[in-house]
Amino acid sequence: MRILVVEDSEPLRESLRLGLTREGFAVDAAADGEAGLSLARNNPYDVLVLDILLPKLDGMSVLAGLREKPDRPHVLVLTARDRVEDRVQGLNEGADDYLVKPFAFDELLARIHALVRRRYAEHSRKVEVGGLALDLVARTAAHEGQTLDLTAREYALLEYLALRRGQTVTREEIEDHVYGVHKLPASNAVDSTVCLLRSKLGPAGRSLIRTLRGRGYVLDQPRA
Amino acid sequence: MRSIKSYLLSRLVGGAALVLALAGGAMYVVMTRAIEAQFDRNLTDRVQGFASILFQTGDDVEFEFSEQIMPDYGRTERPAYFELWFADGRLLERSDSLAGLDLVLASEPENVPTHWTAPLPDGRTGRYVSQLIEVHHVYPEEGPDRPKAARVLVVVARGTEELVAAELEVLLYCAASFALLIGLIAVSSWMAVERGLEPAKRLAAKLDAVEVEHLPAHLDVGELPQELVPVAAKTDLLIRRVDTALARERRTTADIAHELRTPISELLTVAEVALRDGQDPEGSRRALGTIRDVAARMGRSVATLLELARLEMGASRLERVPVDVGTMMGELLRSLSGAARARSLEVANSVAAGERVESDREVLRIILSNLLGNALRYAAPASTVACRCERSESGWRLVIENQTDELQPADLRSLSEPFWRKDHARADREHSGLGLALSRALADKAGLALAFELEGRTFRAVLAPRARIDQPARS
Repeated sequence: MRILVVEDSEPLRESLRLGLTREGFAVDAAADGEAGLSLARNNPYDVLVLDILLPKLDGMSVLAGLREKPDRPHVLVLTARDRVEDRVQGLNEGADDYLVKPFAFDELLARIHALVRRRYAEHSRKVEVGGLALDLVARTAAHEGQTLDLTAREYALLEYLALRRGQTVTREEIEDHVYGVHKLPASNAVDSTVCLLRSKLGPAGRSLIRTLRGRGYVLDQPRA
Repeated sequence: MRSIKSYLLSRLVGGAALVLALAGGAMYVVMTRAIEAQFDRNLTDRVQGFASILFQTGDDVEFEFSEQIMPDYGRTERPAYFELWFADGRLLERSDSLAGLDLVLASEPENVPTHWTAPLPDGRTGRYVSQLIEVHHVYPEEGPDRPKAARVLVVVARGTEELVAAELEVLLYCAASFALLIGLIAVSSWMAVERGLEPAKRLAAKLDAVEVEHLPAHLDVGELPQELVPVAAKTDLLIRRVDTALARERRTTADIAHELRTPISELLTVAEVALRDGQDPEGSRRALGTIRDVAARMGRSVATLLELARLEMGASRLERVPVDVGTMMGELLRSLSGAARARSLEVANSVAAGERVESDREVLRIILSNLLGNALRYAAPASTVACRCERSESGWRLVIENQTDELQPADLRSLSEPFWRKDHARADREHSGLGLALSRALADKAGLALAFELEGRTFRAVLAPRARIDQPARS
């Protein structure tokens, strides 16, 4: 999943980028509202983590600037303003969630996961496709009851495919949602990761991810 | 004064009571005097009555007294008394009530009635009258050779019980009237004071209903008497000031909360992210470095806030001495020369070494350091920052001037508010937004005034003795 963090505090911004990347998210970061709005308008982010007091353009204006964007990301407002009216204003302006500083990183993660599930209309914490089971909260995957040992990137790719199960997912979409704008993968990076995933799924599970030549991948029940 | 109402009531009722008591006392005295005079006239009439029943025939004097006509001289209970004496001292007649005793004279007999008070033979207090009278001739036709008319001293006395009773009755009437009038005055005064104080009560009720969280824009108390109009106006003004102060306080508190929440978030997140991957020594080292930097920044902010609080409480002591502001300015500019070079700024300092002003040395250094730092930080790139000391007969003005495109005239009011920055976001994390607030508080404490001016693109910070700040000066 691809996340944009717009936060003017450098220590916070860099820690969020590092922590969320380690959790398998593709993370981009911006230090002011103008840069944040530009990135959000031009990239398909799943979640936007947005501070309110920002240089150049405040968070509310960023929210307003994204209002007309088709398929706009879900927005988690992250701010030191804790008054009820601030929260109401943020939610009215289009924010999907609100987290007051200081916060626990685990809570931030949980809220981001919840927003991701909402984005893909996934109401359960578990996704099951064939014998493959993903726990979206614990961020674990198992096949036929056997836990898969996945890297964060592998899990992220598998989760993205699972959330869009049954749909054809292009390489570009995978790149957009699993890799950040500053970490453009090598041309075969997606194919390599899919290959690794298939091998970890084993002979019985490798057919879960099908390649549609020239179009992309689809995660679905194995064909009989 | 504990209560206007009790004060007014006590003064009004007390004053009325005093006037009524004096008037009542005077009336009592006049009336008792009249009663006593009436009593004495009655005694004198009795003497005249005795005179009318004295007859002289030749040398014989006859006294035609009858107890049936004047029974009070013969009764046994609370009788009246009389004695009639010839001028030569012989007794002519005395009342039976005297039982042979004599009445005591208070003075020499006179031809006019003489009154006095003395005990009666039966021990009661009595009122006496005596008068020498000339006996009438029964037969005036006796001619010029008739004997000379005899002179008789008549002494009459009677008890004063009726007099005392009448006087007591007058006293009771006076006291009752006094009590009734005082009661009426107290009630009417109470009603008048209540009515008079009603607008003050209305004002108090309005003030009582005012909530600090929702101060009204205007205190609507309806029509007020002339005396309370300035009180209401001043109260309105006070509420406005309190509202402004509270708004500033709330803003500052919110800013402090924000300023502390953000670095706490930074500390928490940096630490939590580092702890989630304990296998990365380099990452942990970087995290610790970040935590140290953030903590140091928090420490500076807290120290400045504490200094501000101490200044507001008056805890710091300042000493006013002549300070070589030229040398101080030169030292500060040298320490900031790197910042000026980094932004291609030219510094035009015309404050000569040896230029002296009266101030606390350390306070002046902090203020100038903040002002110069701000000028170099926010001046338009590649512009000139000018420093000068203007002198006039009435004192000095230190001016630090820079060009800026960032400020609007409305911003000048907010410049020295804690945490205020033109860009509301914290674009510049190295600076807390407390410098100018601290500078202004220090200037106040040191008897100086710090003012800000904006003319077009030219921003000026002006420091001067408090009374001088608005006066023009020449360089």
